[in-house]
Amino acid sequence: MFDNLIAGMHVGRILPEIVLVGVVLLAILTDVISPRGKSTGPVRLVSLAGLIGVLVATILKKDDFGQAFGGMVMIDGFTFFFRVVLTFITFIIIYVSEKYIGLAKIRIAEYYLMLLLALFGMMLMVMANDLLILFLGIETMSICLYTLVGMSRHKASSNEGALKYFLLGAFTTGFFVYGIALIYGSTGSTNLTDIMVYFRTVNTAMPVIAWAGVGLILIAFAFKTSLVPFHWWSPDAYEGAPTTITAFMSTAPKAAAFAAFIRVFYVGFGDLSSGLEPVLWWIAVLTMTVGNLIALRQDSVKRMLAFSSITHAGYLVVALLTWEQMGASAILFYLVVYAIMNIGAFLVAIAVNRDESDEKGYSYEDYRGLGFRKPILAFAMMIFMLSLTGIPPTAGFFGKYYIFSAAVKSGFVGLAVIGVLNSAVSVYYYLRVIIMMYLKERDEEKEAPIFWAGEMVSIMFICVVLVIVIGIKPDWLLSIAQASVSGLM
Amino acid sequence: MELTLNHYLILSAIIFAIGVTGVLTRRNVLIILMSVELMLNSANMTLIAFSHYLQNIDGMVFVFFTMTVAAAEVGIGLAIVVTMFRNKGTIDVGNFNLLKG
Amino acid sequence: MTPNDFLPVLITFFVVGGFAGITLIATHILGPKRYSKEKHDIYECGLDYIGDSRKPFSVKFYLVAVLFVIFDLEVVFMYPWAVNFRHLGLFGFVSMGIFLVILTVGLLYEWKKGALEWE
Repeated sequence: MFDNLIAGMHVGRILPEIVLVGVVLLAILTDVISPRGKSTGPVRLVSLAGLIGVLVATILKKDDFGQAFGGMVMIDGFTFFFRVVLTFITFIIIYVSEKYIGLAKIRIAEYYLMLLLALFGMMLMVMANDLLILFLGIETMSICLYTLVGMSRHKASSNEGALKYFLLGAFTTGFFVYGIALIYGSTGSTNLTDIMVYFRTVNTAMPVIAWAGVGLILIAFAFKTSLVPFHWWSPDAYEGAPTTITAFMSTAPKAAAFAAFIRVFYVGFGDLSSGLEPVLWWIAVLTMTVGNLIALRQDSVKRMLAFSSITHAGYLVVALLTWEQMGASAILFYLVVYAIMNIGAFLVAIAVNRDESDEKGYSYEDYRGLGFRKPILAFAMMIFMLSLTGIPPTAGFFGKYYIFSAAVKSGFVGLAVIGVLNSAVSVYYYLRVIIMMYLKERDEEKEAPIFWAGEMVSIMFICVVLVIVIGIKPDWLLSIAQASVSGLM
Repeated sequence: MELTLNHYLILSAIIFAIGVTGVLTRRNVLIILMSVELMLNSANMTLIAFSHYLQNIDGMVFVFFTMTVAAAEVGIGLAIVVTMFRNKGTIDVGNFNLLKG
Repeated sequence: MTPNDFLPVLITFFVVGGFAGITLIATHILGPKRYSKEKHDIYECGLDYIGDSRKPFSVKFYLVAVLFVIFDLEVVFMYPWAVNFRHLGLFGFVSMGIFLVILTVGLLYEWKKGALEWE
């Protein structure tokens, strides 16, 4: 009986997650047995080694696809893709953090532990084929993120960002669970496959209660991916958080949330696409535009990047709207490219920032004359800014190109035009950094020393190379993305 | 009078609405947390009512997980509130205006 | 089960409530009343009180509350398992074992971090 049960569950298919939990436990024990105040080094090493273990486990299991735990989770190419991407992002953030957390006065091992646990939550999200697992994944991730945002305990902005993020996050959880309850009541299941079957059969006469459930779940996703009008938490949380965490939050959790978004709305609610279209259309337009307009008015580079990440989420919704494989693969492509350029940009911002204990900081002024002062650093920043704007030959250009061409091919010409116009607006605030760096005179009296760490430089270098390589030759990444979504629909 | 599924659904919808109103109108963090708990528990009630109606155990299992997650959220929430109180000496969200949108 | 089956419960409810209410009202009306300063103190006899009762709690209580709330809820998963222990067999036992190991690591963590020490 025992063997049968285990065999039916395909426990081996979640080997990477099992390894990850083991790593977390090991890291906690390392923290506990290390002498007080000196545990971050060992915990970091355990985490990095463990994440390599997770990657190895993921690759070992790359042909063992299918459902596990009685359909609760789905391991397919899509899961594989996001497992690799998310593990990489977490690895990079943990790798670059050691010196920075000393600067930000948060040298405690929980920083790494929470990152690892957040990764676990995200892994659950990307493989969830049941709303229960999705819920657990989202909550595991969110609870870790609340802690990470509030990590700088003595900074009022960090407290405040954490509190706002937490309150709105908890509020969202209420919507999400209530939405799941209504879906469960009308379809009789929380399994996405069952939900799809139900919606396919009763598509024409769907009860109001099911629509309410779908709407509430959409609201929850809009909160998690910071779509307008549910975006207000994100700039505050992003600004209050330690900057490495901001880099993390704007890439990995966003990728995981979009992965879950795609799976729930393409698989579970796939047959409701025509009903959801107008809603998502407006959300996409508002998200792109509002994020942009507010980013224009920011004086802090960190805040500008936070608001522009809202805009980027808007582009992703445009691709989501196509409800086709091409749109989904464009999202995957864009998420990877966005992660690379955004992490790079945040690392430059950390290096240039004047004073980490300053509540505001990250001013545009710090970039004055950087092109003459630190030409290589300025060049890296220029590449990231151009890529975020979407100017060829950078990776960001192809990210936007695939999204808008997918939109045009699916008949959303108006949306694509609005998207391109928004990219044009975003030129203003991204280029402002470049203008500051290259066209403004140095002001030597006000210059602050650059914060250097070997790990940061190496990751920055890799990001620059990747942005240019993908910008010149994007096909390989696109074909990986296409292969990953092919099993989805 | 027979208690039907609808009664439970209406009651839980009312409680959910009270919770939402509480979150949106109250300024004390602890009361906001309580309102969030109301929202979650109304969802739990819906799940249990449906679970009984459909004669399907999944809904009740879900409630276990919701309860645990709610507890973890309260834990984190209280921790954040305590840090906040140490820094600012108040837990009124109206006073938290350092970061403006 | 119909609401009619609850009729005895309802009757008990009213009887209990009525008894408590009548007793309270009766003592209020019948009892003699003599007011004095001592009568209004918090402790009518014994210690003199110190300060105000509406003081903020020590933050330590919050920590205890947080820890309690989290570990308390884990029992939710143990009751169903304990009830179905025989049916779930070795599989349930191993699963619960893993669950408890993870919890124990958490407990070890908070112990070593000093969260369980009052001072």
